[in-house]
Amino acid sequence: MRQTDQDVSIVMIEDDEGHARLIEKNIRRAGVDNEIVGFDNGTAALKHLLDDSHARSSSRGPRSLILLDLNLPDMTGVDILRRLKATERTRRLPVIILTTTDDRREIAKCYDLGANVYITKPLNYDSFANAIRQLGLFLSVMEIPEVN
Amino acid sequence: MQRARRRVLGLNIVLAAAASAILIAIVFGAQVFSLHTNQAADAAFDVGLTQMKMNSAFTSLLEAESSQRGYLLTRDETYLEPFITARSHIQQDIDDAERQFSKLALDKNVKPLGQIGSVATRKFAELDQTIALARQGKVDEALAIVRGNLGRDLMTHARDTIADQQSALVSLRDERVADLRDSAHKLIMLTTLGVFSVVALSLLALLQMSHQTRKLHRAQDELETANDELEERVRERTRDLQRANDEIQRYAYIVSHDLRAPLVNIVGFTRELETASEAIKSAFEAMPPGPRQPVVAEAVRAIEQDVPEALHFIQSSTGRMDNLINAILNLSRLGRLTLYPREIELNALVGDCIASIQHRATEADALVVIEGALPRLIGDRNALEQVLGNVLDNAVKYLAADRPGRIVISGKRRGTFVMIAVEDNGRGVAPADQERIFELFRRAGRQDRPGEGIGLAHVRSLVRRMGGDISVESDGISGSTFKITLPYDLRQVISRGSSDAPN
Repeated sequence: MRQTDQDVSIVMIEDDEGHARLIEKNIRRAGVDNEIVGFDNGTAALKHLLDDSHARSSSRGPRSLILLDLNLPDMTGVDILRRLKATERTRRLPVIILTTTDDRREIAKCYDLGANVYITKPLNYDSFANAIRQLGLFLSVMEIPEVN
Repeated sequence: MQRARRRVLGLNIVLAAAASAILIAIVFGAQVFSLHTNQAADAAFDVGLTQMKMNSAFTSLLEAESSQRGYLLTRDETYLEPFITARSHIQQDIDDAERQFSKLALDKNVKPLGQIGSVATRKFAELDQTIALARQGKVDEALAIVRGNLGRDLMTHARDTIADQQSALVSLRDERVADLRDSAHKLIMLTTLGVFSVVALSLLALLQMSHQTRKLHRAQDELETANDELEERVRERTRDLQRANDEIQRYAYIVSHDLRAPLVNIVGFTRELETASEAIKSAFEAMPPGPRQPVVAEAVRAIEQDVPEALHFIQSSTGRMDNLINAILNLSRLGRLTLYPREIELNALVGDCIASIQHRATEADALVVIEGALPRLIGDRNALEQVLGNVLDNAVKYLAADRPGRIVISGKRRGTFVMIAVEDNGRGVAPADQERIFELFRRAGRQDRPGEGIGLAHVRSLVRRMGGDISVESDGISGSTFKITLPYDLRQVISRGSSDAPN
């Protein structure tokens, strides 16, 4: 079992239930126990991340790792990324883009906006699952910055 | 158009013929009248000459007579000189006068001039006689003869005769002079008419020419307008094709993306199923060996055979779906590719494409050649290589088994477009399939060669993106000719379509 900072919650913004389930399964298989908070639309996710009152009340603290899909129903992942990076309290949170799009321009744009990692959901499930498990490794070594 | 042209030609020929005829008539007439005038002049002159000769003859007689008178008066021999001179040529004078007279060829009833001859002879006889007498000293006898008036009567006779002739001649001369004047007048008229005719015909010709020129200019203007309209229509069609192409690209992109998401789930959860069934299998294997209840046996068979088989088929299908989605995405991506127009030397580019398939061509016993010189154009090198490479690829792929392959590439420039033809003697494309083969995932003929049915859709998409088009001609048996039309200058296409093409 890897040691992960139990204060960190994984915020997963993914509208496809199947994808969300697959991601969650593999995170758990990687031995990561952190709370996974899922949202299937951008509005709700942003409310959670940017809303002060919620953050203050959360027992786990505001520190999060964000798994972001770009094809959301109510707004694009790029918009969410922009807002997160433009808001003081969330701009240091690591964002991992996990999506089916492999458009090179999209990728460049996301990195320009400050995404930390961009992972294309490959149809080769094994490598996908592997990548998620590596994420677990990541989680155990990365420093999630303090907010404020 | 042909009939009008023939009519105009006919009209021109008629006018030319008429003009020539008129001019020839005038020239001919002028010649005739000129000749006639000359003749009339000669005739008039002849009359004058006759008059002159007759007068000479009479003058000779007079001179002879006055000379005789002088001699008789003075009996000085020197006064006889005129007589001797006159005598010597009186016959000549009369002959001349007679000859001239006969030359006039008159049919008038004039007294024959011959009379003058006899009169002159008798007169000279008388003169001779008197002179001889005077010489002998018989002056009084001579004078008696003179007073006898024979001489005088003879002279009077001669004078009268000549006067008659003269008056006849005068009227004849007047006639002939009038004739001459008339002839000259006609000649002048004819010449003037000739000049006017030439001027008039020239004006007519000029008029005709300007008329024709105006018609020609009008026709040229109409042609220009028609050409412009045609070009505009071609531009419109190209724009429409491009727009249609762009739309297809957008749809392809959206659709394939939306297809990917559920596919991820299918693949992912199929693997989960696999993993889960492995666990169940292990559980069954861990069971003690020995006969099993039918229900259990059923379950074992399910987990060992049915489930793996089902999973296998699901996985191969999802694999195929993945390929197809990737193909569509690639296609749509290429449809939105940025084009970089450059000067392209087609000969070299096609040469490169041939070189890259040369190995396979030689293996397949096929000859690939460029016929003639390919035109240059301004286009995107990458796109052109893909298009031509793909078409050549197909040509080498779909040869006919019973004959050595021959693939010929040719091209020419047609105004603002360049046409390239790739002709092969392979198995051809049946008429019913000639539109299909350009569709995505569609193939035609015997399916004995590897391929996804993507190439030509890809090619057409690229070609249309560049503002051109591609088509195929084939009888389905003896080979095919792929015709690629491309604009000569890609930059014009890009600048034209920049407003509505997504880039």
